[in-house]
Amino acid sequence: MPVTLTSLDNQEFKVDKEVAERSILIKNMIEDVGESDAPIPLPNVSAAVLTKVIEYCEHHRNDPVQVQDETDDPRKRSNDIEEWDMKFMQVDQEMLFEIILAANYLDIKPLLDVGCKTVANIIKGKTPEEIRKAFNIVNDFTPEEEAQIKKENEWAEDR
Amino acid sequence: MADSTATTAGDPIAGAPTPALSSGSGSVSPLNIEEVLVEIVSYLDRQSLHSCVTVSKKFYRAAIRSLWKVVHWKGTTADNCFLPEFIRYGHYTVELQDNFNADLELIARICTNLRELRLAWTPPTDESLQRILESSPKISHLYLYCGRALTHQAFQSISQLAGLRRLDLRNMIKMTDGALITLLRSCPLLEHLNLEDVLLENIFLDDLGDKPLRLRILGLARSYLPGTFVKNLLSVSPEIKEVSLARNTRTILTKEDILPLQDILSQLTYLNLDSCRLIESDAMETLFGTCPNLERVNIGSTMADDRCLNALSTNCCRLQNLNLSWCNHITDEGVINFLTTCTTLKLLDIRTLGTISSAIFHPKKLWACRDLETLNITGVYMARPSIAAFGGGTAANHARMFEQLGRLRSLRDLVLGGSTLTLELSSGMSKLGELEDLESFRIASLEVILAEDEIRWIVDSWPKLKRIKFESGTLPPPWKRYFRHQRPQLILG
Repeated sequence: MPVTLTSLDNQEFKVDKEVAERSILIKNMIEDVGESDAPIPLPNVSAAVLTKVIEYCEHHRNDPVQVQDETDDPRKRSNDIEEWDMKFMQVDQEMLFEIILAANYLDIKPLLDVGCKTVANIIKGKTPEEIRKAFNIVNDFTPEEEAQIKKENEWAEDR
Repeated sequence: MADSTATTAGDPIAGAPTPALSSGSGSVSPLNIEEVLVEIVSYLDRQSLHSCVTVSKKFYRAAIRSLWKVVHWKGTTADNCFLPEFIRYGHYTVELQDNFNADLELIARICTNLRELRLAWTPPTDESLQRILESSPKISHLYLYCGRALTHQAFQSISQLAGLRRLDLRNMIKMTDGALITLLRSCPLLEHLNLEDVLLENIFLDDLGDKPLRLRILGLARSYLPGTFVKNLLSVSPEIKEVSLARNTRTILTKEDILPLQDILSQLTYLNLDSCRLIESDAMETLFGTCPNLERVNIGSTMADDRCLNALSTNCCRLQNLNLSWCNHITDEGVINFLTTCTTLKLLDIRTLGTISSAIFHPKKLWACRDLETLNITGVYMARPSIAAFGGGTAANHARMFEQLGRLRSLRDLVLGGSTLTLELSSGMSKLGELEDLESFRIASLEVILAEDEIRWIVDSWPKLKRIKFESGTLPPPWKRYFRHQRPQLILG
């Protein structure tokens, strides 16, 4: 049975229930309401972003549900993004951020993970100044605070 | 992460979350949402985390915990300056390097949640290791690079780590059969075991039993281990993928030892038998016949002969790396047969002391390994075949070599050399100019000093060249200046 989603700008999207339920938020909504034809409003997501998100969910509709493996290596890697996901994430920074926000809001963990890995890959190898520049971040430390932090974390600097 | 939204999901029509509640679109950045930022930085390496903590206050809060999860403590930062933060932020990994006088008792007292411990040139004793492992029973990766002082008692404490996945132990003398068996039987998750330079001379593992282990990677270099050890351990390791017995010059393995292991070894992708001189060529031939999935093989300085090469080229269709250096029992014919059949090879090392001659460059025997990226053929005897009927001795042999090598268009790294080799443009060296992807060119043990024209040619021939090396005085000193001047980007040596 298809489900209708309404975006921020009032566009309607008909998608398979299975696809829509990749979003835990929507899945919970459907479970709570039961069978209903009423469209589901998603007032945080624009049509452009929702199109992308649905594209992702369509492609991953048959993926098994992720299980957190507690015993696993605590260090996570960002170089294991699937090829399709990598291509999917080749968008400008504004869209990338929108996708991450939507994934966070709609609670689509695998999409959020891929988004975070993509941002992590942008950060990798950059100096603090380069990071600020890349994301338009203001340095809100006083020079004293900055010096203190540098001193405390000196050990991590080389290698 | 969706807590704020999940609570409103009870009544989706009326109570759908309003834009003000969380993300919204347009101006809000995910970098302002703390949970998302924490998730992002959790993928970063230490160096990048270090950059993050001074970006802004939000970044500091998100990155500082991840940064402190791994403490790398080098001899040069000998004071305990990290301890306050260490306690505050928690920790997963401690790596101590060159801390000969490290206070391991302190580590044992403070670190109670370690998953990974790496002691490099920081020698532990049985007692200090025991205390650290007792306070961090969840350690899954343990690296002890300096085990001189350890005895079988250390193994008893290691055996208590039920979640151990990887053990890398080096330089240990006092090992017993019982201690090793206890470890293998007490750590059911152990996948990667490396015992390098650990004296296993009198360890046979006869009482290991037949319950299967989960070992995937096994390294036993320089351990003087008996063949029985290898047989007993491999026969209960059905998931084994990589095995190294490198430099076990006294280990004996026969064809009869290998045959019962055929099923288990069929999944093997990596095998290193470097310098295992007492492993018979029969045994190796049988091995290669049983392991169709082998991708990387090192049989340098072994008894390998032409039959082994034949088994490799007919059975191992995925072979990418082969080290055949200093194998004195192979012949030109065996090498030619191998090179004209094996198509998958990417790396080949056939350094020799004249065992192989330039007959392997025969113009009618085209090498099939067109994807070869790395090639070392130092020491090929260039004065053979010497028959003038073929078109005249050494010069013609060189021409054939350059012709054959010039066809290997994927080559990135080439090493040439040897006492009978001369590099001259007049014998066709310019053919090598067709190797457009060449990034590294090394010349080893050349006896003749390179002439000026040849050096100039080398400097200019390969557009992608990054590294060049002349061993044993083949390059007169003024030329080094010339190189720096002409190609400042080039790494010399």
